[in-house]
Amino acid sequence: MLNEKARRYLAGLLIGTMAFSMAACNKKEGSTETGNEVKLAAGGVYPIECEDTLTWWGELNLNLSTEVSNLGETNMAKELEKRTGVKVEYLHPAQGQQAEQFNLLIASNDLPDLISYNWQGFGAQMAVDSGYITNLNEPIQKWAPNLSKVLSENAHYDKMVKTDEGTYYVFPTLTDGGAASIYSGPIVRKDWLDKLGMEVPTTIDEFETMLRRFKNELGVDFPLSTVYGMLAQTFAPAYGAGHGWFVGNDGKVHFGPVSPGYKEYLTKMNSWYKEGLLDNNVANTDLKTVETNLLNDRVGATLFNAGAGIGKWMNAKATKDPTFELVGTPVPTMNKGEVQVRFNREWEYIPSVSTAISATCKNLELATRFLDYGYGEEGRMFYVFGTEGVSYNMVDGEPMLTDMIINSEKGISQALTHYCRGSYSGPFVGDSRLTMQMQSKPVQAFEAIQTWNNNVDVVTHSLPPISFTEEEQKELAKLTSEFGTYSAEMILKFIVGIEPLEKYDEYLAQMEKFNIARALEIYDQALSRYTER
Amino acid sequence: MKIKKSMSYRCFTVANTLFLLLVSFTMLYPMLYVLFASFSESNALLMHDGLLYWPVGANTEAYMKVFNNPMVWSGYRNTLFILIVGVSLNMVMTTIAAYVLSRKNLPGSMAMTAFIVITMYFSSGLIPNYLNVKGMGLDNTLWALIIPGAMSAYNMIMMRTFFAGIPDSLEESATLDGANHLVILLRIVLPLSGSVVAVMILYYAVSHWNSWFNAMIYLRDRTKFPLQLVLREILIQNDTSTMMENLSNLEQGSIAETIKYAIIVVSTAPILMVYPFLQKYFVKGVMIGAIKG
Amino acid sequence: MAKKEISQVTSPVQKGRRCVAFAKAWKKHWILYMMFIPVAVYYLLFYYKPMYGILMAFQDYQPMKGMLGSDWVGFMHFKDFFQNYYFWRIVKNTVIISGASIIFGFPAPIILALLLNEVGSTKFKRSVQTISYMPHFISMVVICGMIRVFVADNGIITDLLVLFGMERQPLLSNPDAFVPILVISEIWQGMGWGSIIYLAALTGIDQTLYEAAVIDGANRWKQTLHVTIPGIAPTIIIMLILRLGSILSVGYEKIILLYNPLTYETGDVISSFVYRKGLQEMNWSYSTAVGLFNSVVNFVFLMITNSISRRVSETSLW
Repeated sequence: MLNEKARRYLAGLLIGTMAFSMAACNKKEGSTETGNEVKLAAGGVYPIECEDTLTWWGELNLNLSTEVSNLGETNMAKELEKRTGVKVEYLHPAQGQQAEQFNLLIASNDLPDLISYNWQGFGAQMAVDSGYITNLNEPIQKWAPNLSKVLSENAHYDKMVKTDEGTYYVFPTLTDGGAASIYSGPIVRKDWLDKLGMEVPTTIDEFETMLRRFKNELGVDFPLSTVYGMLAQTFAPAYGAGHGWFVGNDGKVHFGPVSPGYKEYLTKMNSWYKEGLLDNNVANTDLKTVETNLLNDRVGATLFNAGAGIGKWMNAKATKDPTFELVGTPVPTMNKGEVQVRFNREWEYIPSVSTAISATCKNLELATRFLDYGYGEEGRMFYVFGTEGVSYNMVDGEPMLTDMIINSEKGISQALTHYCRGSYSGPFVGDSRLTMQMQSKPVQAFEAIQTWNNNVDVVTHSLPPISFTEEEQKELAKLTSEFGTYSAEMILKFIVGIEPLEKYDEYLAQMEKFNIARALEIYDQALSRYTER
Repeated sequence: MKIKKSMSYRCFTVANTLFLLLVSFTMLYPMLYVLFASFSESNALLMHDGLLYWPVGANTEAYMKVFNNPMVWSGYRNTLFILIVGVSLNMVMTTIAAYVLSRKNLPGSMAMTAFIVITMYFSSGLIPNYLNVKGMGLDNTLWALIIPGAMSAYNMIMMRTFFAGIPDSLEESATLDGANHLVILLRIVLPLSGSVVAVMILYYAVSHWNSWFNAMIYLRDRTKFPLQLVLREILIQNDTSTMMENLSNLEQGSIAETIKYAIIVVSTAPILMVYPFLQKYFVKGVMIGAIKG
Repeated sequence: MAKKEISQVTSPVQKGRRCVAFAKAWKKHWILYMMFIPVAVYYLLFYYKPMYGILMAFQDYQPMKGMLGSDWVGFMHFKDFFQNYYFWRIVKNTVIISGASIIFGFPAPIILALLLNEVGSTKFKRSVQTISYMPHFISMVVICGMIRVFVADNGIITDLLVLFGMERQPLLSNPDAFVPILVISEIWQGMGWGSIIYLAALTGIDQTLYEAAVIDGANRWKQTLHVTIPGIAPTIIIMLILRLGSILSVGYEKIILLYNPLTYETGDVISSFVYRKGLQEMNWSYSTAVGLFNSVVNFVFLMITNSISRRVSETSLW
């Protein structure tokens, strides 16, 4: 049944993709975003004739790391060198503790020419001011026509990729915002819903009814079981509260666990816990446990993401139990038909993998022109899809991955990493036409992402990529080490009933004492600086 | 030496044997679990619930994948080099220090001991250490994993304690025969210390084998990575905490559970072999022979 | 003791006498001193030379500015740490966890070694030895994964405890169960590995002592008490001194894999606290300051136990 469905789906992939793109555009109506249509320049002149070699420090993609020991060995890098004419020596930190390794680079003042790292988190302005990385304002104007064009014609990019002071510091990894901005949400046993003759739940009450029927009528051990981190993300929004820092209706920053509505959310979770609807191991359930229980029919609903969740699990059960089916359900709202409100989203600028040029780089012009490649039309196609005829073909004007990639035993993204960087990151604007082809299997995962992104408001409350000054960051770390610990502890105690909910006001008072107000103030300042950029 | 066994001692022996069997079982099981899991079929393992008594859907796919990774092989090679050179250097340094500091009535030995013990407590921290090693030109070489760890104060103290327990009479008679320190160390102290030398070799070998942090800090060239660092990188892909951070990623680079277990087997089996081999040096009564001889 | 030496140096007469004494010692033991030189050079180059890094604790260290360029802040980081709302809780938890693992965990490998010593069959003994040190080699993540399964509310250990009348519950959510889970699993994991050094020490016991004891009519129990244990006593004492000298060192790796906010109240220790703070902001100076605090306390413990040991037994570090 599944195979047939999948085949039917794949046959209509193109149509589906287009329909989805349109849905994505419709969804963003009224917002400032331009969706799929990123305006690109025709591009500079490549290949560049120059003998210098650039050194480029950055993490080797995990998928690649099991197959090659250096990015330079891949077809992607060889082709890139041919196209741009620039020789690059890639340096990779060992995976896992990059922050330490990056700090050592800085401390020993021995920076490679290009460094892909989270400069925003590290303190971009400080890095520029203390002479570690180059202020790119002038170089971009002089030598990077492609990026200049992208930034000048896409104001929302421009705002994100500079510092509060207006300094450009990286060649950013950008996404076109066209595909989706939410990849996780509730996942429910579809076959059990069918068995009970139930529709997909959309409200908190329906969700609760479903869990109760799972328990009472099907005897499910853990109607809802999830890694704890996902719980508030999924159920607090119905009560108008985020799970972490978010922008409230008043335009100010709020902290979920002390925001209005959070108490009601806790009350609901507590009642689910007491009734046995929520897994009683919730405090320490890890993904492995959820997986095992789910695959052994002890869990009716969980909260996770599409590819690593639905895809993996359906695949695991495919031969053993073909009736096993999962469906992504919308984040439950309070009233029927309401918009799903999400408090966190993926922004189009991904700072953690954006590339700066060190101040010691000997050939700034070369480095700038090299990095600019990915923001032109040709460069973007190459970075995202690879080489035409090898990793993709143009079908009716749309780039489609070749069979070699789609049917690779290693999996799409593993196969892709040898030919392009579209499945992870780099100095270019990503393309949702690739991500959608990557998410196409199984159909339930694809549909789940659609469900989670359909009729959703991710814009109003999500905190934009603001940045803090050095002092602010220190103060925040100090404050958080107290109220963060306290809050995490109390919230969980309220849910499992160790602390009665009557004590919620006491909890709020204690949070006041920890000076949460000051933390909110810092966030507000950073937000207003961001808005004024 | 024949000891007449009393009834109660016989009871004790039985109880002791049973107890040790039980303990062994609880300690063996995790290793067996890992072994079984590594030979299982990945989807079957994902679904499997509870303890494992045999591989589920037995196959060797996970091992094929692990050994297809070229880094695993270069990792073995690098680790072997570090292990052999490193342990040799460790043993020379540790033995010398332990011998010197175990001499009774050596003026200044207290200060020398303190000089070493203080470093167990007050260390410089990551950055100064890195700059120091880099300043010596050792960074990005395997020597950075060998020379800075030339000896461990902890192990030296263990060895010194053992050396100090060797009866003075032996050394005194040797000194009277005109033997110098080198002779005493090589001809008397070391031959009597077979078991502690074996323990030291084991401790150092295991610590070299298991270490990855320094490699991560000092090495940039991935072909120089020791085995543990290679394997750690593969394991990270399956780490729940990184998955939580990247919850929204399009497609997880999550590897099959079975590979995780195969990696553990591949990375622990060789070092587990070392101990049984060294056990034959744990022999009682060497000392009597020495005294009588 | 270091003080004593300094006061001696300040007196010129004694200084002269010291020089003479040293010259005499040198003449007699110069080979030993020469042998020690490579060791001394190693420690100077790799430990003492970069030790200036400790000063970071008193700075607001920024990798970009380096040690020379960073601002001095005196005891600010220490104050931050001491004044933290959770300071006493994490110190208390650290000491309790460490104390429990000393009281229960320290004797375990000794007992195992003594039991193994009573085994007649070499084959059986070696097999048990080899098996018992295996858990030491299984990665912490896997071990903790197993612990989770065993103590979940349907886990095998929970089942066992329910038989003995405990109320069924997920044990890892119970703050009272956290320390026992941690310490017992640690014993289980480390007992075999830890017993190796004692097994080595057992081989060093002079076998004639046993013969003498047998002649005196001592049974196995008495032999253990009067020959075996005194024989390995120096090793036990040195190990104990070193163990007490790491009283505040409780690693975070296992803790962060097992704890959750419900068990913070008993499970959150200094290292896990600093780890969480580090996720927020990588503050080199702060972690150096906490590390220095730990080292000083540990070192004081080492000095105290060492001097007690020197007085009541023959064995000490110096």
